[in-house]
Formats: sequence, C-alpha cells, structure tokens
Amino acid sequence: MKILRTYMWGLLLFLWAPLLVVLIKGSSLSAFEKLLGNTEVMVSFRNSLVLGLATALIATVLGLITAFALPAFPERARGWITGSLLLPLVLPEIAF
Amino acid sequence: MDRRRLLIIPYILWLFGLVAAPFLLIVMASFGHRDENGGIQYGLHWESYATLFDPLYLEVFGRTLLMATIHSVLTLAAAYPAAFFLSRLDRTKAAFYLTMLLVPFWTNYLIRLLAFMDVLRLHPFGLEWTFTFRGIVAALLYNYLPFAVLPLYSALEKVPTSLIEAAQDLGASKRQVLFQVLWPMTRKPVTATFLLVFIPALGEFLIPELVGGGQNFFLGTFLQQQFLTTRNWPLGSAAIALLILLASIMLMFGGKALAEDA
Repeated sequence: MKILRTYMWGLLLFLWAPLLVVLIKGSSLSAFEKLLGNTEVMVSFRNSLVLGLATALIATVLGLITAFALPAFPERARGWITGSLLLPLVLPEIAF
Repeated sequence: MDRRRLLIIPYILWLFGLVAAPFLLIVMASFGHRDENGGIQYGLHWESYATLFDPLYLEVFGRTLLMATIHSVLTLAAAYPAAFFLSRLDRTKAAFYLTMLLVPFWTNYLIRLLAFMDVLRLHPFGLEWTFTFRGIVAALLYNYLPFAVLPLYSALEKVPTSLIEAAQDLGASKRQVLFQVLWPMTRKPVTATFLLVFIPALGEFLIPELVGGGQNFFLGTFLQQQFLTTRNWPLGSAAIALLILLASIMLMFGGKALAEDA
C-alpha cells in the first residue's frame, strides 16, 4: 500500500503540475486587478455563468425525466436506451 | 402500458434530432461532390471514399490508430494501480483522492493543454518532447487519466479485500493476485475503459495541433483541415463516416461492458 500511495501522489503531482506552473509563472496581484477591472472580461464571465447554469439545469431535468421513465421498460429496451445514451459520449467530439 | 414510458419522448427526440440526424447529414455529405466554392453538391459519388484509400490518407489513419493505441495502453497501465489503491481505502479517503484527481479537470481544456505544454518546455524535458509523437501521447495521457481511473475504481471496488487476502493465504504472490484474481475479475471494465479513452483520442485535434505543432498529421488535424481550410466537406464527412463506423464496430464488441459499467 505504501508504494501505491506514493504512486498516487506522483500521479496527482503529474495532474496538478501544469496548473501550478501557470499559477506561479503568471499570477500577480496586478493581473487580478486588471482582470476585475476589465468590463469585457466580466461580461464574458457572466455569459459563461449563464450558459453553464442553463446547460446544467436543462440537462439535469431531461436526465431526471429519462431516468424516471427507464424502469417502466423491459430489460431489453432499457439496454438499448442506456447503450444509445453513451454514443455521443464515446464518439469523437469532432464528428459533431 | 405504464404511462411513465411516455417520459422517454424527450430523450428519443434528443437522440434522433441531435445525434442521429447530424450523423445522417454527414453520411449524405460524404456521398456529395465538392463544388468550386467549397459547397456540397449532394448526389451519389464515391470519389471521397476513393480518395481516402489513397496511401497518403491511409497512413494518416494508421498513425492515428497507433497514437490512440499507445496512449490507451499507457493510460490504462497508469490508471489501474491508482484505481486499485483507491479501491482499498475507506469512502472518505477515497473521496478525497478522487476530488484531488478531478479538480484540475474543471479547468478549461485549452488552458490545461497550454499549461501542459509549458511543463513540457521546462528544462528537464527540453526540446525532446515538444512537437513530437511522444509529447502528444504524454498530453493524451495527462488529459484522459482521470477518465480511466474512475470506471476502474468502481470496478475494483467490487473486489472484496477478503478475496485478495484469501488468495495470498493460499500462497499467491502479488503478481499472481494481479494476473489471476484482479485481472480476470475486471477484464470487462478494462475493455470499457479502453474504449472510453481510445475512441475519443481518435478524433483529437487540439493536442496534435498544439503539442504536436501540426507537424504530425492525424485524423483530427485532417478533419479540421477539410472542414475549415480546404473546405472539402464531402471528403471530411467521408473520413468521419469511416471513423464512426470504426467506433461503432468497436462499441459492438465492447459496448456491452461499457453499458453495464455505466
């Protein structure tokens, strides 16, 4: 387990390193000041927020409705439905 | 009939309207003909498919498959021990590590990729990694690792610790536990995970473009070029149709494992 734990932390370092490097290299207080003072950036922040919230809301509601309908189907049909659900997840993004 | 079944309608609409219909359009476009302005004349032409079987393009296909295969094998090999480690922890601790694993991936894809390139450019790596095949594979590994750990974790979690202990009590070495107990029990989820990281990698275009510096030509790069630069939509569509065909064949073999896993 000890080796595995060390390995796990190594992996985490691998995943976090790029972000840490960017933070250390790029951030300074004045950069944040500029960011907050820039109305264009703030508008795009707001747009992203609205977009993200709307997506999450619609997707959750649709997912909930579908999940609620699923148990009403026989096993075979359920297999097809859950299978087709994975299609866009697995097919290459660029195809769409 | 259970009236709850009617609730499936939005999903069916979504599936046909937003997944099946675009695919159908792609197939139609692939049989079309490019006019002088880069538009599509629909029809029944095989020229795009014939072009794709030119050795030049077959090489691109082959290189893409090679890249995706190497990346998937490495990603699985890197994720498996981590997933096993997580599966032996109690829930609270596992949740901590999983969060640590996923948080970096809330950052925008592009920013993450540029940051990763910054690391590749650091001194110890030097120029040996940027703009190379292995740099691309490293970036893919970096990008897909958490997506491999998660399903493997949920599969390995179902293997009781008592089973591993029993195997060890009966004299199994660590290697034997791995290959004769854990591996057979998780073969299906491993297949599913392989597909989960392999198929999206086939269509990856930002990583070859940025990390590879556009020097290595891959399927994703090719598609991007056909749709945005050369504007030969029929040719691009034909390549996508083949890509989806390939992905579907793989899904038919491994999809069951994937659906069971989800």
